[in-house]
Amino acid sequence: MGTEGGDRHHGADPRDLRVIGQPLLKVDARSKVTGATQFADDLSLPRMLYMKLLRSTEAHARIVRIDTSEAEALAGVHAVITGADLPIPFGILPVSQDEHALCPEKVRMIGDPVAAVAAVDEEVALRACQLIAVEYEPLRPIGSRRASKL
Amino acid sequence: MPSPAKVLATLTVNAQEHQVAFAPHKSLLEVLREDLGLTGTKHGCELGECGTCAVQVDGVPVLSCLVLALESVGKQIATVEGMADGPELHPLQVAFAELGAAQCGYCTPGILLTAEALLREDRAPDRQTIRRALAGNLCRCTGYLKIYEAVELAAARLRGEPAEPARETVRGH
Repeated sequence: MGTEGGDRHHGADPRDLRVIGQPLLKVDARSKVTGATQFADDLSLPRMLYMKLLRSTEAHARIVRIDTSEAEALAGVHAVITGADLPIPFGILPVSQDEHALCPEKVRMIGDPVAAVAAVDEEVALRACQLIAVEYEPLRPIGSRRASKL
Repeated sequence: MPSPAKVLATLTVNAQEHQVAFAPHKSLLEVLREDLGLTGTKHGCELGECGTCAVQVDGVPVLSCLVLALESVGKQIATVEGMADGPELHPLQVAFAELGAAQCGYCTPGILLTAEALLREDRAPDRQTIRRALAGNLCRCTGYLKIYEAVELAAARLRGEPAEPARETVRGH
């Protein structure tokens, strides 16, 4: 170290630096330790709606049809959408624009999201999800490398 | 299906009495956050696995997601909002801020409440005792080391020792 340290800081004595190399409080340290920091789940707005996802019960299947009419008719439900409402794929990288927020035609795991409900509260949204009828045509799930060769 | 009728109850949170109406099936966590607006107590797994919802009931750390609010009537409930004395932070809060033991901050309130209960029982816990006390509180940011060091620093200051953070802790060398 010795003389090299001086060069690293363009000749400045590290002891004179007010930020570099100094222990500093994070700008949000106080709000983090007092519980004041607002995370997404902590936000509450007037007339806020709650969203619930209906997820696939099949590991691998084609979605034949989704009937959302009963869910939409439930009091307190504001919107029900499925993969058909979100046809444009997206992705973090420009080369992999192949993701869908809701499965458009096929589910590839138990838990794949197939529909979303927005409602006045969590319980109504959950009940609406239970009223959505999804007809699946099961496909052979491939659970291992060996199964993929058959 | 109509929602169940609400009950009116008095909860004592951070030494203040609150009259609050809530559905009787609600957990203490839900009532604190949704009905009293005390969102410092965090909503994690709802399964008693992560520890982020920890509060103190009559001085003992409990997971507020596993306790009915109705069970807490007549007891002293303490949350992170009550830790500081006005603008004066609790020594644990100071140490967590100084050492970067609160990073994203989501586990911090539960850990602070759990650690505070530990330090009231044991003024000088060793590292192993702190690890055991905080074993139910998951943190995905810090790797726990800074949290243990912050509890040790706060414990020393609470004993009246003029403790400073170790150079290696704050500078990494």
